[in-house]
Amino acid sequence: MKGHKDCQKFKEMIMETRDGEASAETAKKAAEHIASCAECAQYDADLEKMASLASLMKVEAPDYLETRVMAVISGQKVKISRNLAPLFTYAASFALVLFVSVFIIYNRPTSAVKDIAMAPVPAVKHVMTAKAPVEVKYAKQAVKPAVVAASPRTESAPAVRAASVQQIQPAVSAPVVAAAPAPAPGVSYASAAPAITNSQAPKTAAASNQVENGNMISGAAAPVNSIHDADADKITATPTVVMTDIGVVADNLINPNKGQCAKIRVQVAQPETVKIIIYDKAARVVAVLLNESKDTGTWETTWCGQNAAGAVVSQGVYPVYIQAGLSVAKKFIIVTK
Amino acid sequence: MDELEIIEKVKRGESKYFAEIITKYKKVVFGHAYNFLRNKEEAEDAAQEIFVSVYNNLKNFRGDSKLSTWIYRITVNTCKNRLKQLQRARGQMAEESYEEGAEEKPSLVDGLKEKEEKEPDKSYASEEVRKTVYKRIDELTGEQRQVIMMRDVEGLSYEEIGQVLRISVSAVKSKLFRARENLREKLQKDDIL
Repeated sequence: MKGHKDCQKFKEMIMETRDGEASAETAKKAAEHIASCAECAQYDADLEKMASLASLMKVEAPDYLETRVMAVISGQKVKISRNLAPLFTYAASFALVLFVSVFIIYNRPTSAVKDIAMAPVPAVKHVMTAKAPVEVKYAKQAVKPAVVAASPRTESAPAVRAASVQQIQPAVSAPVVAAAPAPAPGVSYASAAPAITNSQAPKTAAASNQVENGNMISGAAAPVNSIHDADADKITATPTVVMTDIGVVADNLINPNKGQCAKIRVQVAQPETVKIIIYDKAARVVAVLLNESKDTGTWETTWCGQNAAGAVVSQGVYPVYIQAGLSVAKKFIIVTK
Repeated sequence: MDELEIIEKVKRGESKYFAEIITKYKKVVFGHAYNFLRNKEEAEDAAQEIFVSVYNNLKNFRGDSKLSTWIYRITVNTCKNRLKQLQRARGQMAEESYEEGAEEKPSLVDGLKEKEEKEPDKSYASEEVRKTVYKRIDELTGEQRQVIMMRDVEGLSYEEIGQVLRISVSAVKSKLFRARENLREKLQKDDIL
């Protein structure tokens, strides 16, 4: 047993000697023991064999390893930017959500506009072509029941039915409407418009149609035959334009694939050229919804996410440029899919 | 050029000098990866991962230990992680084949190992011996396998093994001795010794 323990100790010495880790003294002792012990001599021989077997397991690294690794290292800049790509995506998403939130809050209709019954507006944009000039005035202090007095039906009046750009009578400001063949002030009334318009006669075809739709549309538009682009150019060229809150966009988050449309309203203080233009992010004109003279009142149009060619636009944020005379407003419509 | 000089140059952004480090250590790194993963493609991928990791972390290398030891430690850890991933994939594959009721397929590691073993540049006898030695080494415990590989195949000193495995030199000696005894017994039974 003692001999075995001794051999164990010598085997460790032999191992160290074989591995080149033994001191000169240990190596000498191990050599002496191997000479006198058959078992340890066998152990030493086995270690030698095992070392040669280990050489079988040595493998050569491929020559192209350097090239491969160096290619990865040199391309790491690109890789890093790729790794950061999700981070940028998250940041952009967050910024978009923030942006959308802010604009939804800012584009929320004011209390005055909220009270206006929204008109179900046809998708196709048309302009009122009523030839009878209409004068619209606002009388905030009016207390009398509002009466819509429309001019007798004319040949051009049916065209008003198809109008997508509609004039809306603001409920709060209680417009006083005078619609007559001559541009002279007519009967001025205010308040509870729908009830009163129902009870009043005579009505034009346009007026009755609008009442059926639950609108508070007060009359036909001014003649538009005289409208031409020169008017608009004159306005845009004027350097004294001011940013005002003349326009509002309702339902400004739309999905054109679901048939959703944004409603754009503009309040016209006096007869003047009104422009409603949709742009894209690169400031290219996507659609011109309105570019003509309009009478005093609130006008509404819709945009269902289609460009001038009638194709559905890609998703994104689309600035809406609203101009009435020298007053301009910029709103946004967000198109999602 | 001195190794420290190369490190400083690489740290300064002269990455072309890193090729010298790769040339110096690729045999050890690839050898360990191959013996650990037993697959050439896997070993190449692992070696690439190791060297890229070394490059990226070179700025953190303070020179407290030798560069070889530091690289070797990264090698050991990377290979361990890769083997775990492979084993997980192997388990998943086995599970899938069991679920599908398909015949037992050779695992990814075994399949590629077989392919690797069919290298034409080795004689059949050497291949058989090598296969048996690999098999017997695989039967050892993880630590014993590691010390045997590091010492007998990759030629690391006791001190270096201790630094890589974070154990003392006497512990290295003890583990290596037991590992060799176990392997010796197994190979004697196989009439290889």
